[in-house]
Amino acid sequence: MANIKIDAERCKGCCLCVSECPRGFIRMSEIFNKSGNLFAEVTDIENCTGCALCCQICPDMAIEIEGKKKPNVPVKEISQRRTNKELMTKFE
Amino acid sequence: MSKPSKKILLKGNEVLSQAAINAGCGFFAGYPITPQNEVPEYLSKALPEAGGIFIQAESEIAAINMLFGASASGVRCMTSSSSPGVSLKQEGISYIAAAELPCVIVNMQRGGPGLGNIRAAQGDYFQSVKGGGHGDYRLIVLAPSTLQEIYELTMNAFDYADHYRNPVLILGDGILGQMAEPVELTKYRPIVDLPEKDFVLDGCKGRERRVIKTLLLQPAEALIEFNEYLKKKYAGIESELKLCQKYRCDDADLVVAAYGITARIAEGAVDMARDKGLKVGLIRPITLWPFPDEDFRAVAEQAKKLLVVEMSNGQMIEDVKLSIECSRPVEFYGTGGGWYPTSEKIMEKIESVYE
Amino acid sequence: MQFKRPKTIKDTQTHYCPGCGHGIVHRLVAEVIDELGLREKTIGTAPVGCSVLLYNYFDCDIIECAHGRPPAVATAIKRCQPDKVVFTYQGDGDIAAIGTAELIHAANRGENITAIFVNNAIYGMTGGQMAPTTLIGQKTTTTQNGRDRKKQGPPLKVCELLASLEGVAYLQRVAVSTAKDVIIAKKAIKKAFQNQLDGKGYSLVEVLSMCPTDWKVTPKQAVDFVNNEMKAAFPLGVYKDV
Repeated sequence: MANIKIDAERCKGCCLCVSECPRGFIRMSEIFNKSGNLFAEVTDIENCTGCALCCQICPDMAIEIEGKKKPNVPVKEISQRRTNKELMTKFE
Repeated sequence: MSKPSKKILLKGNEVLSQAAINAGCGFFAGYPITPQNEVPEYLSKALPEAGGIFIQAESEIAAINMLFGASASGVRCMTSSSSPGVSLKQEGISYIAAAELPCVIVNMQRGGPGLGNIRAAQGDYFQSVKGGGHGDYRLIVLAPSTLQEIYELTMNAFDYADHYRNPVLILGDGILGQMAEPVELTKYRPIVDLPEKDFVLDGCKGRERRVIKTLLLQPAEALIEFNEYLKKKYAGIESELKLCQKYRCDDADLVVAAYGITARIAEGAVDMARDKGLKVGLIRPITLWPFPDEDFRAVAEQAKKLLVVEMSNGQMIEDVKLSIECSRPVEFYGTGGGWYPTSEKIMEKIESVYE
Repeated sequence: MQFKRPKTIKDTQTHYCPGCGHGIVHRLVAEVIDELGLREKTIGTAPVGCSVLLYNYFDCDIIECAHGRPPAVATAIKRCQPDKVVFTYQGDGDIAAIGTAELIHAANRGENITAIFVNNAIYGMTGGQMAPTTLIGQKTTTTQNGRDRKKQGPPLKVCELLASLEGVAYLQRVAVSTAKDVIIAKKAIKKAFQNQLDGKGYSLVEVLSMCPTDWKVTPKQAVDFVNNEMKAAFPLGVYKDV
């Protein structure tokens, strides 16, 4: 398991990580942080591979990762991604 | 018998350049403009030979901003120009004053406004002493009247800049820049205490990182406090650094006030007047900011009248009137448009206003 | 695999809007400074624009410059301290409008400095006016019907402009609109710093970046704008590498 940590207070809710996560494991919270932003959350920490693409795109350096592992769930089986796409359209 | 001095014949612009080198100037950036071209020409060769850096900048704006960087690197630095070029530098001068970076700026004034002409003038007095750029800041302004004085004041300018952490302007003109006379190139000795440069950006090795900035957004009081601090700093300079020379003023009924080369021409007129039995003296501010107002007040106690002579249509006259609080009539004789007054013309004016 | 905030970035929240690319570029520059071990010998210049406050985020010596003048300031710092590493961080207004002269001449002199140019096709700090790099048809507060080629001219292309100058060592245009682009951008920035260490001369990396607030779109739409519109107008790639 990759140890991914998203700093909810640092997150400004831009959602760029949501669309960047190749496995669709990131979505936006339904509550606000102290700054009044919805923040990014990891939905499936167990299966995060630690590819760090979310870290690369995050403009606020709010995501940190330690460790990396091979995926044990094939990408095509992950349905979460679509859910996130739907969530994204809500923000747009 | 005293040892004969070793004088050499140089042009004003060359004297100034050599003085800068002797004072340890390590960086010069400038852009060609008449009548100060001998400064970059001289320094382009002599400064690198002395271990310094010379850059012919793409503009006066770039040149003054190069000084911003050189001064932040802890190097003694100078730029020179003439009136239109100094106008271009004003933005950078405001930033340098705000960042409290020491540097020396030279203005060999020429005729204006606009492109004007390339003859000597003193039309940049207001620009020099009243601001020039934006915001509440002051330059220390030195006005030499001989080439020997150019030599000494240029070296002093670097000391004042470092001592007060403030840009210093040397206000000359086309005549001073272009004329040649024998000058004794004395050894440089600091005339004020030179504090350690604790602002220098040289990489934060073994120390907290440093920031040089002039934007003070938050808290809202930050800029107010900084301006209060500057006000105190400028008041300190005013209390310490007012230089002035008086000539035959002790019993004078009429005192001529002039600075720079004009004062030297006026000195001749004063001697002519004295030869005719007229009690005329001369007061010459050496620092135009801070303006030596106490000296003017002292002179005005004795004199019945003052006569201001400038190579402009009247700029310093305002500071003279303010200094003496208009306690005496102040007459004016000026030559605008890049032309100089002669001693004879000043003498005529003296005779017409002398009571 | 580890992904942590670089040491050269202070542990503070930036003032940038959600989805703004400056945060990404800041991180990349800081990571490169960390990786090359340059923090204690680096002097950065802050421009005028949104990133004027970068001195609040970078934990190294910083000098804030007048609008457009960082290349002149950096020139002097590098000449006075050739053993130090000097970088300029500039926006499109700073580098391609008010500071064009300083840019071209510092580049042409081949000053051994590293320039990071963040191109978001708009004036962000002042509230969304036209930039020299605003695209044809792009609406801003000063081109309310869209930039008109006949009136405002086409967007100014800095890499293409500088490519003809002999003094320039390295020019690359990258983007930060996708994670893949960010990884490429990092490599380019690292090379631009390495070039300075190797004494190669003027190196500039142009970064196409997002400004959702002043483009008046969501962060996701801003990313799409960079990917679809900006990359078409400003083709990515290496423009010079000597």
